[in-house]
Amino acid sequence: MIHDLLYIIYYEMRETLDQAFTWLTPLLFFIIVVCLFPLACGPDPVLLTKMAPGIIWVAALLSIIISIGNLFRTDSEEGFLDLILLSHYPLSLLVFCKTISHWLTHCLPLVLISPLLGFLLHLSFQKECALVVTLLLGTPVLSLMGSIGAALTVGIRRHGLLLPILIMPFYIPVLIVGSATILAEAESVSGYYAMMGAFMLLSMAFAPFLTGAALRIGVTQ
Amino acid sequence: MRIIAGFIEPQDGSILWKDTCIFKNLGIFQQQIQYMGHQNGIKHHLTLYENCQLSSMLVKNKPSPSIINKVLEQTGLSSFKHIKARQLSEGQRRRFVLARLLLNPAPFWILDEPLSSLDSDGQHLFYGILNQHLSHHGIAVIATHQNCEVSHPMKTIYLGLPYDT
Repeated sequence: MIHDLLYIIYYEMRETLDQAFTWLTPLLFFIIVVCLFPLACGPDPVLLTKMAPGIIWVAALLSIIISIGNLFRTDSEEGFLDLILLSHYPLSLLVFCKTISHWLTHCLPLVLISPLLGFLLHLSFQKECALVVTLLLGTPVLSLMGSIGAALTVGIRRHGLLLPILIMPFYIPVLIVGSATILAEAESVSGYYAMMGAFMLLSMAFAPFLTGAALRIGVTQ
Repeated sequence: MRIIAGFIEPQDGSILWKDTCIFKNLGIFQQQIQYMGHQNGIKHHLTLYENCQLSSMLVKNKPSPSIINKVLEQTGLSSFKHIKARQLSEGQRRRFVLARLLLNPAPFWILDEPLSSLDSDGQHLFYGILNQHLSHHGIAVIATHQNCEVSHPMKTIYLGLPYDT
């Protein structure tokens, strides 16, 4: 069973990596959005250091919400979603696999490039580390919660900005805690990390079930 | 057809399988069906062989590689098996869906316009596969615009108004 699920993740990832633009465009979007802020707000190091966590987090959030919208779209167009729905594996497990592959191909590149962008915004080494850790803990939450919205909107052809409007409000707690962790003083930071970890575990435990249920509703549209 | 397959719940009436409503135990029912819809359910960025493997991951009784090769040969696809599905013609993709019917055996087939995009050889192949399925006590519900040439007893339901009224 584990073997099957790993294979499904592997094929999912191969499909994404085969079309470079699907994973490259969200990454480039992320980089460009972050780069716009120094241009708009001026290159003042003090100001940028203060704003950097917020900028990077908002940019990551926007980039993920754009990419997650297509989580089930290709499968739905190619009819592969029907095979997923008919599978003997629980639907929640299969959508979890899909979300994992989405995270590996769309979110992990963001996390890996983020220290470079932090450097651009004059973050200190210690804050850089905090940035990477919070993104590692936080982006799975964004992926998992986004997958619920993606499942709900899968049957709607021209959904446009419906998904961001639907899901963004649920991203707010992660955004607040995520950027606050980076700004927090060294002695109080462990509590923030614990909270981020809790968000991640909570979304891992519940989101796949909700996505599965949402998908069954979504395909009837 | 999507209602019969249990993808959509009917607003009115019910669908019974072995005297129980399919929505009571959807998982068990859906393990016994094979659905062939308008879309092929093929991942265009994977090769045919990988598509075979991937669709077999999702079902309970996995076919062995030798069975996959045999079925691809039977459906005339063995020379294309390492070609990405997006490079194939629609007729070849339709043939692949027929191959999938053979790979993942299920007693109940739900086929929505199975003959579309198939050439006469492909149609012949389809009837061969269908007759083989029916002679193994299989059931099939088929929606089609053509006449179905099946050697087994069948019940035809005409939907909509006939043309001459």
